Amino acid sequence: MTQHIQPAKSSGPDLAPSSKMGAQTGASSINWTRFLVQYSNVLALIVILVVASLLSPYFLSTRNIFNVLRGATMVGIVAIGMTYVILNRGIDLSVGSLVGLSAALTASFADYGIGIAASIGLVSGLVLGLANGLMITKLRLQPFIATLGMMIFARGLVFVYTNGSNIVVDKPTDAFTWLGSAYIGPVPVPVVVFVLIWALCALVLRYTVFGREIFAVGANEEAARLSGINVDRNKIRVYCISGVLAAFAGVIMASRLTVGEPNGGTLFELDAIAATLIGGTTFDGGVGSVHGTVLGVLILAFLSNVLNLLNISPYSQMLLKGVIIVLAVVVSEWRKRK
Amino acid sequence: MGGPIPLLRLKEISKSFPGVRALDSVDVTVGEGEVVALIGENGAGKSTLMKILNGIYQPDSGEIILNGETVSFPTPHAALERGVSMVHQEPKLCLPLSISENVLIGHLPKTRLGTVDWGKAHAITRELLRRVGLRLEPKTTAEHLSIAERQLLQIAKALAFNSRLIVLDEPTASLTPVEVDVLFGIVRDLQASGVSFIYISHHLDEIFQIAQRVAVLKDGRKVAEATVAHTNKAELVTQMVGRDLGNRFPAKGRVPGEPILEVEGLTGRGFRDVSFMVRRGEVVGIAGLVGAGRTELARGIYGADPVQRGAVKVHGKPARIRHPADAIALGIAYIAEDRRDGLFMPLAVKENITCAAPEKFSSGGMIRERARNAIAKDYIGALNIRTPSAEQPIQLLSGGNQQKCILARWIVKGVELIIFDEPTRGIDVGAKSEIYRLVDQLARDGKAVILISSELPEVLGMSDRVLVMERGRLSGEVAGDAATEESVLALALPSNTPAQGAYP
Repeated sequence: MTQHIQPAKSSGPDLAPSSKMGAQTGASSINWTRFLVQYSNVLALIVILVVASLLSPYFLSTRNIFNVLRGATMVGIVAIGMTYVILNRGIDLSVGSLVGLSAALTASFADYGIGIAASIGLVSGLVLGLANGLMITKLRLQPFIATLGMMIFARGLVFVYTNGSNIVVDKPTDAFTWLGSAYIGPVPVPVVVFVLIWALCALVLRYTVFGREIFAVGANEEAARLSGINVDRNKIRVYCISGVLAAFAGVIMASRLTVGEPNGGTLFELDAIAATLIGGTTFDGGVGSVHGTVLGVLILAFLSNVLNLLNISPYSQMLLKGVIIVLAVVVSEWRKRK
Repeated sequence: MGGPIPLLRLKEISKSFPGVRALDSVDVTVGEGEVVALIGENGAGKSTLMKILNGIYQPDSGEIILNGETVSFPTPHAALERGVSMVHQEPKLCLPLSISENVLIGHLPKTRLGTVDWGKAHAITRELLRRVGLRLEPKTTAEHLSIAERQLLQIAKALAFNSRLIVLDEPTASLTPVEVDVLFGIVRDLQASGVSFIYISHHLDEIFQIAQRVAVLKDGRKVAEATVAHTNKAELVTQMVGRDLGNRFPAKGRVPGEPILEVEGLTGRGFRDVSFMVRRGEVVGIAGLVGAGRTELARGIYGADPVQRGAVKVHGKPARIRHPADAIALGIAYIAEDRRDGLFMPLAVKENITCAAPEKFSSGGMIRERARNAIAKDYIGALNIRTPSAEQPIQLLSGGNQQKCILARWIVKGVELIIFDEPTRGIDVGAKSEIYRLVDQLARDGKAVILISSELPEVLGMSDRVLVMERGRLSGEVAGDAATEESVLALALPSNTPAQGAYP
């Protein structure tokens, strides 16, 4: 008798999409402005690649391409963690210092084998990432403030631990340098590792409850709480992941350079934020993707490669990079409005 | 009315957005010192028209004629300079700044040195505050103002620009009856001094109190215009909806079962010693003035805010609810008063529908996408949610459809009791009756609903029992069929307040 509010299998007349939303602008012609805005970062990367290959015959060589990619992996891994944080409507300024700390620890424990050395580095990232998360959730600190404090604190740790000088790995084993310097076929190992992390992090974001909750918390924290989502736990996990990924980048750094530098990873946080923003993830939370960030990383990496090939000084390069970052955010604002 | 040359004529205004004709040759005039009500369902074109009048949008065709002169408003500031201003439903103020700065922002008086002439600023502000009936110190910050005071402050700001036409957008949505009376008094005073108003509201009763003429928009066209003396509420509703709604509320006759929720002496910030019980199959209304503690009580029960003492039993067993997740686990949901507290704006409709019940479509933390899509699709159909697809960002849906998505979220979850706070605020008439039907259906399915509302007809029309709150306490309970606006009001009004401040 009573008809329950439950989806009937034959759900009556099909819902016609509301004419207001379904309709399109110009019947058959593609809206070019819209297309350009939507895919601006893909196009930017293509333009850079095409221009570069025209300007420099060396550019398209396998060797150059893989060198660029290998150079981009460390910031790339940090940027993926940063994407999680920014999607969650946070920010993590401490990652650069965590890279340095992990690299120093990994280098200093090299004698115990890469397994133990790397584990110690990763644990340092996990512990300090956890501390970030706890400060933000339990002490209700703004992410900017909590991670700014951690950035300075962790860099301090590195200097205290290294006494301000390089920790050089004596006689690094092949096992120690494998992660940073070896090749699988023509592909550098760190590039392979980066692709694996990319895939894993994208899958987690898309296909796990945890991943979807990152978006929900970032989009509206109060709504997430009222929907029964454990907001604090979600945030803590996100900062832990950011910390561990930063530490992993540090492990790769130590393996590649066989040195733990006290200044290692400095300014990584800003490159990671830049790549994330260029990739279309917004500070408002809940909008963006890891794929976009990877695109952002590639754009920045290839751009500076091209400029290097053209013998443009690093100082002038900064001018261009600054413009591009701001431009990318302007375009992503347009995209939101479309 | 309004003399030979009206103050404002919006002449044959048309405006299209990709795929939709938002306004189709709409003509509205406002005479000097006149209050013209603009009504219509959400999406009828009211806000588009007002955005054109305020320089936020440009019309595709048509003219804005002010005092017989065709003008164009490229920006809101241009409109303001010509004496047209807008008072928003929830005014955006610079809270940490002083009241004077908020009122005079953009043209603070300066001394000869170019610094702000604070003495003069505060004096001007004091005079403007007096005109809108606010007794506030201009030097203090705007932080602790109520929504009513903020609206009046915006009117003062409009007066500071010598505004001659003020648009009031749903001004009474969050006001108490007494505050509404104050607002109307101010509007009448200003009207007498020649200021005109365009008044947008979903509360048809208010229109008959305050407006002289009313224009009805539907689907971007003006479908009717009349002086209020020559129309009535039923006629306006028919014109807005394009059909006779008949009885707005579903028939009652629901049969209550065993208790789901028992509250005993619950006390927290904003409510004291509240005890009541809700049974299966019931819709229990909670009425009361704004600020009576209804929302605070709901949030306390739900674990969204801490409670100080008292006990809650769910299905007869004592329950400790310290977090919304605890309440949800016990089968209780709360739908917030402000819809924005429930929505994930940039996320897809399907995320919004399924976010509270991951267990229905995931195992070991991994989402089974197909199962999730099926759930979303089914409930979009079952609740008649109008969206082009389940992937549509929810921010693009109308208020009514957004509200249905939030309701769907809890039906998917399978909760037993839904605390529904202001279920139809800012929702158009058609969507309202759909929400009422869904609430009734839930109760008939053996669930229970606590319905908190400031719209008295809604509480009376929907509830089997009405609990009335007054200053944080439960001042009484009225059986649904015995409840009248008078009997509820008698309990809702503070005993020392004269009853003239009645519900709108």
